[in-house]
Amino acid sequence: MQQLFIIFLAVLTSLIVSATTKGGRDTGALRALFEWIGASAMFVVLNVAIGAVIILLIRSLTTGFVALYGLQSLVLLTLSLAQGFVFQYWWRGE
Amino acid sequence: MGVIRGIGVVVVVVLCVIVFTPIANEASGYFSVGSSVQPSGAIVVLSAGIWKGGMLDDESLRRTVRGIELFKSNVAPVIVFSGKESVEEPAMTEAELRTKLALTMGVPRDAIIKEETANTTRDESIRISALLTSRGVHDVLLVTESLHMRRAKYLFERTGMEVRPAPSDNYTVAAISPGGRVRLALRLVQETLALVYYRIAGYI
Repeated sequence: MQQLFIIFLAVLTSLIVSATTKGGRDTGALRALFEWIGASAMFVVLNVAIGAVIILLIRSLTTGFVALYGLQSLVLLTLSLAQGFVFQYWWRGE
Repeated sequence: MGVIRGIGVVVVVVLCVIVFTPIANEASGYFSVGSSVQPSGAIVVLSAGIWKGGMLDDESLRRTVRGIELFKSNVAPVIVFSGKESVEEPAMTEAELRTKLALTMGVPRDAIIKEETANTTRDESIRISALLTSRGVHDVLLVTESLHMRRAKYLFERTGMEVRPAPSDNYTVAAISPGGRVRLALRLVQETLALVYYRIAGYI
C-alpha cells in the first residue's frame, strides 16, 4: 500500500505540473534520466571499489585502522550522483 | 552513451524489483542464520558503534539489549561486551557504555567481560576467543545482526569455539517499507562482498 501511494504521488505531481506548465514533452528527457542514473551507478561502484582498495592498502601498509563502513556514506552517494550528472552531460556533448 | 543508458535502465528495473517485491526479504531469509539459543559458556555481544555524546547507536543498543535479555534468562554465566572507542567519542568505549546499561538493568559486574581493542569482526573473534578459552569457555551464544551472523559465526568457529547464534533482529521479516527493502538489499550485497573478501584472504 505504501509503495502504491508513493507511485500515486509521483504520477499525481507529474500530471499537475504537466497540466500547469508549458513546454515540449521531449522523450529525450527520459533517455537523459537513464543516462544520468547509469553514469551515477558507475561512479558509485568506482568510488566504493577504489575506496575499499585504498582502505585495505592503508590497513596493510600502516598501523592505522580505517573502517570500510565509512564507504556507506550518503555524501559519497550524493557526490556520485553529481559526478554522474556532470559526466553524462559532457559525454552527450561529444 | 547506449551502454550507460542500458546500465541506467537496469538500475531502475532492479530498484523497482527490490522496492515493490519481497525479493530482498526472500534472499535475506536464505542468507541470515537462525536463532539457536541453548545454555552456553558465555554470551558474546559483538560491537556495532557509538555516537558522540556517549550513546550507543541503534544497532549496538539492539544487540546489547538482546545480550542482557539472554543473560537474564540464565542461559550463560557471563556476558562479553565488545566495542572500542570511536573517532567521534574517544573518551568512552562501546563496551563500557554497554556495561553501564547492563549494570543498570541488573547484570552483576563480575558477570561482565569487556573487550575494548578489536577493530574488525575478525579481531573480535580472535581476542574474545582467547579471553574465553583462558577461562575454560569453549561454547558461546553469539549476538549480532542477523545478516552479519554468518560471517561472525564462521570466524568464531575458526578459532575453535562452538557457536550458537542468537541474532538481535529479524530484518527478513521487519524490512517491509520501500526504504527498508533497499537497505536490506544493500546489506546483503555488503555482507556477500565481505564474505568473499574474508574467503579470499583466508580468514574463514
